[in-house]
Amino acid sequence: MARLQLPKSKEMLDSITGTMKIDPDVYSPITSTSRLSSFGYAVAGWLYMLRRQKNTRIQAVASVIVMGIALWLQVSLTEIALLVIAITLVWMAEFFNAAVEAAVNLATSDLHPMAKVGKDVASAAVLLGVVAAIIVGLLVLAPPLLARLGLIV
Amino acid sequence: MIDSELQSGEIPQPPEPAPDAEKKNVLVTPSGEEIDMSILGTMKIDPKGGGTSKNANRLASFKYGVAGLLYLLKREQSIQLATAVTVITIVVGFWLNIPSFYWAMITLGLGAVWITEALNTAIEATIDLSTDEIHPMAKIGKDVASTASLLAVIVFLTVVFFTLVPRILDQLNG
Repeated sequence: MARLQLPKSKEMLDSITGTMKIDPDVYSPITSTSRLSSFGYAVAGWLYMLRRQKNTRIQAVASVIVMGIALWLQVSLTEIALLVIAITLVWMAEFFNAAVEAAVNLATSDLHPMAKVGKDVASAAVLLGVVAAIIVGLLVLAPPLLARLGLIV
Repeated sequence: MIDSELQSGEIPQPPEPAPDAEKKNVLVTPSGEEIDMSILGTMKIDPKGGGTSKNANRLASFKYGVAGLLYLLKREQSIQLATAVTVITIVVGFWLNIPSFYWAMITLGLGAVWITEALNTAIEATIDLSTDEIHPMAKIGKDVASTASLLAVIVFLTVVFFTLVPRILDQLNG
């Protein structure tokens, strides 16, 4: 394993086909050998999030409640699909946020402005996901919920 | 740590499986830490071991999120463009008086664009933090992160094509 296959030239790095010529295995201490173990890592990451991140547990409860309300109101399948995508978007943002946080913590243990930018902007992604999910949730669930509660006829 | 691993050109191997870890797949780092590689291993790692500042409460997380959003709005041209596109889409949506189902689709499309753009910026910052060199893996990280943004833009355009475009054409044809 070579220390670095330094790019032949800056042009190679800048060209549009330059990136795909880079072999990531050269730089990675461990490479995933099988599809099954990739799946295992994903499950391991999920378990990590549920155990270590309180926000993820709250999110799990919120997701179940939202799906429960959707089933109770008997919204259409397409509307359930929209809710599932919205919930998934938040989960994905949350997981990427944790991954970026881990990468930042790995990169440095100093207080560094770019560390703050990385972490804050990653949590902005979660905030954006939550805003999008709330909008979708209101659009899909609010009318039938109000009707069911008898607030509008 | 990673750097020295690469320099010595060795993949850290568990020297010999510890007696209590015969079936468990344990990896020993050069600094002697044991990493449980099984599915239940990752969640045993306490993140509070690493990192400089601890996130105290939910309100603080929210504050950091808003701070990151302000950074994006000020510094990222693509976010400024996304803001303009968002405003235009909302105006067009109201003009066409689209149903709430379409609003939900458009919200998801725009949400994906904003989220991937933010994560792209976060990953860029992380890479800039971790190295000053021009490194092939830095290029992969940044390029692939911006591919995610590109994919989200394609998804958004597809949503617009199927929801707004037919109605705009209807409107223009009277």
